[in-house]
Amino acid sequence: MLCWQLWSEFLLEWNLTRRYWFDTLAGLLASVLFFYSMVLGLENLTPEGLASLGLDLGPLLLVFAAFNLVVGTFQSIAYSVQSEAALGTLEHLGLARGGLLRQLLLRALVQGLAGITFSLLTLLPLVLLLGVRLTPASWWPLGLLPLYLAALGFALGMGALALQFKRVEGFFTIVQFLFLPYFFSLVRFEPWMTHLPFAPGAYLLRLAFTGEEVSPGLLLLALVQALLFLGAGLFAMAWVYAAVRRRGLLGRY
Amino acid sequence: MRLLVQNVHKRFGKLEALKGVSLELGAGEILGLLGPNGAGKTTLIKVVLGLLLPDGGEVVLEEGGARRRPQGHEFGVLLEGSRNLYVNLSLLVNALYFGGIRGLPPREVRPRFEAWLERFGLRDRLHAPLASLSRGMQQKAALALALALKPRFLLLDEPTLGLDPVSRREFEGILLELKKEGWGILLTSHDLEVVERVSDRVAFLHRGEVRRQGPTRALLRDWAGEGYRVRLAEPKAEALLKALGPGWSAEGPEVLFFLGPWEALREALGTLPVEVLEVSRGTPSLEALFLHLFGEARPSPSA
Repeated sequence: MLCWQLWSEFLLEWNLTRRYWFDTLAGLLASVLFFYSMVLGLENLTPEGLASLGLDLGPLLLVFAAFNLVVGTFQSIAYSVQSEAALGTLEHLGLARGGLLRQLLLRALVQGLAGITFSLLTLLPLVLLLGVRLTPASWWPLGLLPLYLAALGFALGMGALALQFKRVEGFFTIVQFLFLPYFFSLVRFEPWMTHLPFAPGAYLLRLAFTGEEVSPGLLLLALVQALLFLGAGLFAMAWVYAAVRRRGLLGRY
Repeated sequence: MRLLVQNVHKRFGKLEALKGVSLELGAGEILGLLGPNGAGKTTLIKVVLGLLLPDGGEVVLEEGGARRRPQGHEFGVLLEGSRNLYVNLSLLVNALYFGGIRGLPPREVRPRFEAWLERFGLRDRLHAPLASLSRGMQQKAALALALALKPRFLLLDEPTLGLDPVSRREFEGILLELKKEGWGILLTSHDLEVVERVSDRVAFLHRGEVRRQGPTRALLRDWAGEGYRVRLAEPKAEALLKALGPGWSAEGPEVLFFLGPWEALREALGTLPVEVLEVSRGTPSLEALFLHLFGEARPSPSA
């Protein structure tokens, strides 16, 4: 049963990508051009190039791709709630086997996989254009996992807000400051960053993308933090879902 | 197998939308849920589906002596005012998607969906985007999907909305066939002629309360002889309705029906600007009964 629910989300994602292929292609191109022009700009800052700034282009590319994935995940559930409510189909998703929450989580998972595909498609031309070699550590998926789970937890929290308020784009702008620790921890990781959202996960990712050894303590910390965010997100979503069904707000936009 | 709605209460702030509603729907039965706008029909359907949580009471599925809360995916649904399907995707993708989220594999959904589309004359539009179909066709496609999901019960909220008279007739036939096949159907509609012809029982809901319910024929029989059929010399029934008060309905261009006391009828007849050929006692239609029960809810145009 669950496999058909997951399959149906793949079907929807694929058909929407096909239907709006031009926008998908333009988004891909925009992503490549954005990063390419950023690198060109940075290289022209110093005559010695990026290396003199202490930046290694390979890991930088990977971090950029991971960042795209995390931000995409972060917004996915709220965006689904908003667009389904606007189309008038949100209540039908509520009739899914296992309920709305399960279906939205499956959709977020599929969108995450689509995000990874999108990131890889962005990386490929950049690698060719810039002539860099990507040499992440073999454990890099483990490095990405806590960050993804934490983003999913926040996505559920934002989804809960979208269930109640439907349009939350403005709030996204404020909440995006949560990503600052992500950038701090890409440079170095200090003890006070332990409790910052995304910081342990992002630093772990940096270790993975620069080909360093896995730090078990940091992995554990990042995983615990991610699971806490995920649990809180699930609780928030379930609580608000019950609240909007009590108040008759589910299908309203 | 029976669906039981037991003493359901629902309040939105100060508004008491449902006040202890109890209904019952069995397999192979069509229950017409009638009431004016804002009576609580859609609210009740959403409570049954679990899309709204009631403040009191419960919805129970009774099967072979066991009782349990039904799940949303066990119902086939047409929600009023809702798109029901993705307008930018094809009919087939919609069917496979909405079947999939209910845990149904494509090999089950597709043949059933295609068969229903065939019956609705939409088989050749299987790969067309929903947006390319007319409003009535979209309604038929949504209905075909609700049927293809092979639910335990069908909840149809204003299913004839946007259908042309021919499609409405076809739809009636389909409802009657479904009933014979053992489907339990809850039907809300302002198309009272359709409801009268297909429903086994009706429940009149008003301001969140069931005012009356029972077998359709028996309800109408209870009112037999309580109304008057007025035959006019000119086909002005519809035009006259605007000036007449509550309790009046038109049964054709030259026939008016009044459900109410004789004194009120006599008074109204005196003001009619058209010659009356005949007045006889008669059994009301569901529409006449509806207007009698709910016509007072709004002030009459002459008031």
